[in-house]
Amino acid sequence: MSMMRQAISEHCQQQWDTTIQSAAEGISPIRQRAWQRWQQQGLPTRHQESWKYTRAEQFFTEPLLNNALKKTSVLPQKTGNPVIADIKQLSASINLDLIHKAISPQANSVLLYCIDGQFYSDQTNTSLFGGQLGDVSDPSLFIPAQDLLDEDSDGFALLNLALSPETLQLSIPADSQLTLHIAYIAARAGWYQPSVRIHVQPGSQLTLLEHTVSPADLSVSDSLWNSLTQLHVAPSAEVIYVNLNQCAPSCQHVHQLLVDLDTSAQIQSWLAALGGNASRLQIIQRLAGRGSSATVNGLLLGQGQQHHDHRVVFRHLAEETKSYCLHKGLLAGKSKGVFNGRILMTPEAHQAEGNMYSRNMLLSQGSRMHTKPELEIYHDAVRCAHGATVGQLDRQALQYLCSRGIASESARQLLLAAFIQTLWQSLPKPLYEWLTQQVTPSFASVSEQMEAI
Amino acid sequence: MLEIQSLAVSVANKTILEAIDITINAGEIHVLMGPNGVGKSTLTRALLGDTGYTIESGSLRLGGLDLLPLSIEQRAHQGLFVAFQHPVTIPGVSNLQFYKAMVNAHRQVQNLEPLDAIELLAQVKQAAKQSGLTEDFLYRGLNDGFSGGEKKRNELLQMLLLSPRIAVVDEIDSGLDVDALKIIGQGIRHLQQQGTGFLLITHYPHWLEYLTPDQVHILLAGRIVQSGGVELADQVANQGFQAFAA
Repeated sequence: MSMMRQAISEHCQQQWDTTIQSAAEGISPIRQRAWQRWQQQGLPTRHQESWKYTRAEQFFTEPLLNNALKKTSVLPQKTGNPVIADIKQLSASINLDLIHKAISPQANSVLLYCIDGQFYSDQTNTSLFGGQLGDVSDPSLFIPAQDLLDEDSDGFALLNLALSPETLQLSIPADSQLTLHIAYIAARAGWYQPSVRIHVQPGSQLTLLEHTVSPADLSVSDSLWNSLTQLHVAPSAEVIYVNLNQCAPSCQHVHQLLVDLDTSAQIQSWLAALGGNASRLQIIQRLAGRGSSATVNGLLLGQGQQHHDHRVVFRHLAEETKSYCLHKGLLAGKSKGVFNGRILMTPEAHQAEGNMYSRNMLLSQGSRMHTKPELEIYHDAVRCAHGATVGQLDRQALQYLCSRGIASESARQLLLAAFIQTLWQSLPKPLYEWLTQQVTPSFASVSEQMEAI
Repeated sequence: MLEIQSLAVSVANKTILEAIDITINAGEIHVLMGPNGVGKSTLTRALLGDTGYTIESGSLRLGGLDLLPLSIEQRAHQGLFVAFQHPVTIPGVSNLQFYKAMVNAHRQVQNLEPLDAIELLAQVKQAAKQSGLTEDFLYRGLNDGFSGGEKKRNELLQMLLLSPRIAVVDEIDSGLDVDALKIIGQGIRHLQQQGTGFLLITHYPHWLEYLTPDQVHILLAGRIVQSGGVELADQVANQGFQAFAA
């Protein structure tokens, strides 16, 4: 075992020991099971197919491992949820207006902050958000995360399950509509492992934004997010999911999204990896109910030395299920992008359909993209397609724009904007505008680094 | 206005055009005819300024200005417009967004302020009407999902928006139905009356029902073998290009 892996292992052991000491009511069997599996499995290695092009150790920096472990402060809970604290308690140490400005939440959205691993809200009602959100009364609604992960389980997920201080459990009432914006912010250097579970009840519509952001005034050094979110989408419920990574360059970001879809349930996701030095997002969707559907539109925007990795898995477990993924990478400088995709058609997936496409553009000699969309089919009556391309700007399109008098620099910008534009065009308009506004500065920075073709 | 003199062009070290001489004055329509593979598209690309096409000798001037050292966009700024046989499709850039970039790029070179959005839309709608395109096309991706005929109408729309000094129109009649051909013929006549000079490149003399060319040039094996009036086009229609082979 390398020195680095040894150090990581020791650090995790210390965290586990601290967790055991601070757990007044003992450790749940689920956490114990996750820890045991972590001990057997350890950090992912390059021998694991989905980690072939991403080195797990790069998410841990030396200052992060040398950082003394901090206990999560226990704060008075006034928000109607045992895990959510009142944000006002931070007003003396953090400029909340600047944080709010960086998050720039949409009107009418319910905003939850996760600052240094602790959840906060600015609402202090005893009934959570006036009843718009509830606690999960029946945890058995959720399939255990480890079972959801199944063979896609990796060391990061296991560490989250074992070490996450407390899980935020929410329920979206039946036949309701809600936009929930969860902003993850590292105000101090450290390693944070938040965990969220949301039950979207039958017939309801949830728009969920998970947004990792570093406000400009917080000069964070060396933080690692290792977060896990689990969604159970009940019959005929619909979810619009956005994951936006805008971490500071010194941040590392690992996130797992586990989705369980019931009969006729739907999820449409938009993923954008813009920030951080290294990031990895794994989204595993279990299409368990007949007629359920899942779509993913993903973007990796790389510049400098960034390393972004997305993994998208659809498991078709029932009849007439549908999945679609369009994933794009735009890479400049010496950045590296990785896309691993998998559509699994089980013997139960009669008349199911799955499509997965990876389209990538390299803007410099030094940038790299590794892409691998895969199909795994165990039933004849299914329709599947997949494809991958890695290329550069289309010379003919560039000439066409220039032939109309558009300067070649502007023509390149237009073509790059068009390349990512097609990912967002199916978003509802307010979200489209919000996401475009958030992505534009990173996009401008990446396109400035484009080398002439 | 456009003077092409003894122009020789090669592609990948192979000479395609040997000596092209054409002079087009303001408001004139010239038709260049020739069978497949004689270098018609090569001439279009060379006029455009495609760096994949090497000018071996000769000159190319627009209004007395040497175009050869100029880039594709600089030639466009001088008033050269190339209507393509196969216009590209760019999903993600709406037609309207493209027209705006195109019109304002020209205005910037002329030291004019960008066109006001309302004025731009009014001009675009007028050009769309003249080109037989409905307004919903304006908000779609550039040529995205357009039929062959709609793409050609979109080329005409852009030509009408820019009112170029010289327009090189490459096989714009191919794949057009009679109604579309008539609309494009009317658009070209409209611009001709405003002083635009045209070089129409084609296989077939379909145009003659809608336009009266000032000169017809027959291109065979990289050379213009004969130039003359509209009677040359009639000769092609009746006897084919064989009649011009030496």
